[in-house]
Amino acid sequence: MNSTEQDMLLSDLLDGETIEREWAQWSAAAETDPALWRRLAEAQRDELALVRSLNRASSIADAVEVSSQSDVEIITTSTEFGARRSVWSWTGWAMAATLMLVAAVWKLQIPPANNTNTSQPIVNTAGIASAPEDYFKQYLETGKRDGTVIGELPARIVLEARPAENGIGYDVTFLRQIQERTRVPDLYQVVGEDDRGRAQLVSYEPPAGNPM
Amino acid sequence: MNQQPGDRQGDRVVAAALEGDREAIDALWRLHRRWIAAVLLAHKPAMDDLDDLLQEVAMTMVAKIHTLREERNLRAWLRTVAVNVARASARSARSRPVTPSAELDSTPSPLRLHTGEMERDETTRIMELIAQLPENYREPLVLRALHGMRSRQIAEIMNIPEATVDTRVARARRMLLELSENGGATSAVDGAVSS
Repeated sequence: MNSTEQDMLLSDLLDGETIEREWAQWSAAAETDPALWRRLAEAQRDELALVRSLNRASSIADAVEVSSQSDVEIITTSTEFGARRSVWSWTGWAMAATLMLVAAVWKLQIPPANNTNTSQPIVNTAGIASAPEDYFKQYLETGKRDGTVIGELPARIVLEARPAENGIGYDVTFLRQIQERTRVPDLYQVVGEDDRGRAQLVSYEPPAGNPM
Repeated sequence: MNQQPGDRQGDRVVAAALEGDREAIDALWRLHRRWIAAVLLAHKPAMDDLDDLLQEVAMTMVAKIHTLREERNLRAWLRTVAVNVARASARSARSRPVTPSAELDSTPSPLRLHTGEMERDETTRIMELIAQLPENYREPLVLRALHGMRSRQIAEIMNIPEATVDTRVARARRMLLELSENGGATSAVDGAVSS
């Protein structure tokens, strides 16, 4: 029996789908090479560890449902967790540089590029304030003009989706990512916590010529 | 292929699901979610986002199951959905900026919520070994080990011959053993071919 045949036979034995013939083959081979019994025992031990590990890893699936209490809801028991983690992943990425922008007090106003009065809400032809999307566009356009908004990233991060109550389409909750710009006098880096758990900040100076 | 009573009952559930029966879809999902998790793990062995990927497969199932033409193709269809979701996620992960410190994301992974430290170590170690196997060897191995699927079922799902399934499972087991013994290096992995 060559090593490939041995692997195949061993695999059959591990699957428990063997009949007498396979056991007889293995026993016969093990008579001339007793180490095969050891190999079989170790393979069974490894197989158990593999099954155990995969079962643990995939047990997450048991918490994922396509429906819960109501007919229309497809959000799962772990969706809240998944959504929270999505947000964390996003904020975690944004916080990757561990830089704290101290802008609340020291925020310097970037003078607008022109003096266009953009404080007027958008109104439609009937004189009624438009939809939130119009206000959002206004915010983007105004921000771009005065330099505080760079733009909106095209990718939207879906947090939750469920069939609409009327059965047509889906209600989707998502994050829109806006790139903004501001100017601050200093940058601080979080380097740890003090005894009271308060963040320890040190002034941060990016390498010259690197925009971070 | 002889059809068992359980198969006929399963066919009725699939037929109801295709008609949009919510309970049937729910039942189908519960029946298949474990092996779908196995397929996801085989194609993207990172466990941290497994629940998100499962959610995506579940949502696709709800939204698209009516497009399934033949009831008996359900498993193969679900497998295709899972593989596509896993690959899209892997592509997206590759294009995402690398976080300098993983510790910044303090949210515990699902695995951490479910298991103790020693179990976690074993699972992490074995999943890392599995990740080193060639992709086409991983899937039959995890389906066999996790779900106890027969070669015939795995062959149907993956659309490959049964003999190929048996060969890949046997070789994958040999590779895992070598990886485990040699601390992550094996000649069998290097020499693996698409059989």
